[in-house]
Amino acid sequence: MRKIRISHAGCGDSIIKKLSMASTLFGGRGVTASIAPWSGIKTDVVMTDQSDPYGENVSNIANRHNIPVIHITRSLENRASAPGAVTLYSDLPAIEFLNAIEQLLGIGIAVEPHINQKKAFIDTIDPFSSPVLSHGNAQVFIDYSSGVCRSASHSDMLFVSEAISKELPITSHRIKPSDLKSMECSVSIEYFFFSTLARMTTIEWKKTGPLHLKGWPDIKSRTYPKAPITLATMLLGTTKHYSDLSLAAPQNIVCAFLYATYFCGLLTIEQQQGQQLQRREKTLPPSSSNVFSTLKKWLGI
Amino acid sequence: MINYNKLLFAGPFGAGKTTAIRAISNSAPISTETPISTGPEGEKTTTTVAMDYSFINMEGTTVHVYGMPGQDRLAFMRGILMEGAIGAILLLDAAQPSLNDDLQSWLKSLAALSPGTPIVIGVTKTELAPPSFSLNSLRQLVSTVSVTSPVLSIDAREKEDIQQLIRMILVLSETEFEAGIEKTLGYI
Repeated sequence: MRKIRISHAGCGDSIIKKLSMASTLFGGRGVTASIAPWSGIKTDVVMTDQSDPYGENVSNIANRHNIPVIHITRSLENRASAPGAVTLYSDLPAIEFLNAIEQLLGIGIAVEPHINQKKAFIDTIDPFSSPVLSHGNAQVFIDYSSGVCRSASHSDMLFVSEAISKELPITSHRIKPSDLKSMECSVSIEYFFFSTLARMTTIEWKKTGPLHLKGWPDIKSRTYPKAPITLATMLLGTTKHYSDLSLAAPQNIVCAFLYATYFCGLLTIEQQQGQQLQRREKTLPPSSSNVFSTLKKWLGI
Repeated sequence: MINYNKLLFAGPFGAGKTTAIRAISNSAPISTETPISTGPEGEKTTTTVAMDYSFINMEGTTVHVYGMPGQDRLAFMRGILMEGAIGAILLLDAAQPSLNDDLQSWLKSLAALSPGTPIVIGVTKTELAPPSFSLNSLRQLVSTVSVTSPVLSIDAREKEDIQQLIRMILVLSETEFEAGIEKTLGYI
């Protein structure tokens, strides 16, 4: 279930009550909404009363950080809205508050699963162009040159990751310098994509050609601690076909690993024509001492 | 080479060596932590002046875990500790401006002290790293000193993260072992 964080600033009790009612209605949309007074920019949307100086101040902060704002006004005359903002008359019913938040966050569209979105995403993503992947107002910047994904918070990163794995719509655009300042949270590109794609059960490796890993990927996984190391060992310093990897891990994990390492630039797919594929089976040697086998047992290898 | 069932944690001051040892140990480590003479540096109030020691007990086999002192003035301890080690885990603090210099100097130092000993690199505090932090730059630097050393961003407080580094040491040990066999048999 998607979670959204709604903040309010300068709003009276009646407005907060309507906001609470609207948040309850979100349950029917498959969304959990949490409401809290404004405590910083880690929020998905903020509701402010324009007649209140504190609310106006928070509106300005939210605008600077591209956080969607709902302005509450007591005047029917004042209904103009800036981009990324909605102005609501304070006496409107709670359902209008719900609609305004949905409109700002694109929730009505987001909860509709997109058939074939997974295929479209895997096939169309171009991480080499350093895109920003967005879902709702959560963004992840794929910083290809440095090898890391950046976002404003871990929850934003998880939010986009979940959206990809659940095949929800993802938009891709170029980074704005102003966005980069707030992206203080980072993980490796391969870790982001591995943990995201490993949750997809129907993922397929569609690229053809022998595979070769140029370096160790920065992937760790609590669920699959051994698979990334096993696959990396098989592909480092040698060339393998996709079919050679089928016994090393479940198919979706192999695919997640290959896409993750391909997206970060560590996996190369060689041209098949006219090449003699080097096949050097890496059989594990007997342990050089008892401590190795004991350690392996302790680590679950 | 004599194998003393030793596992080493190396790295500069404040990289998380003592924390990592605590995370995987069976018991509280024997530590030579003393207050930093120049006063606290951020949240860090103590430093290791000789070494940390702990052990992991696994069905009767003991792996001794040592933490090297991070300060340069105690560098003479490193060679003593490195002897007979299964491998070394080099921890580096991503939040430090000297990250790249630390990586190069430590990697060169460890490789010189015990050539052939597997070294894996754990980068800590990546959440505090400046926007200029680049995993690719680190990888490039590593490749100029030790082609086989993996780089993994980790949380030194997490046992699972440290275990993943040890898994990599074992894989590298086997690769070294395999390469040694092939060399002996004339394959290389």
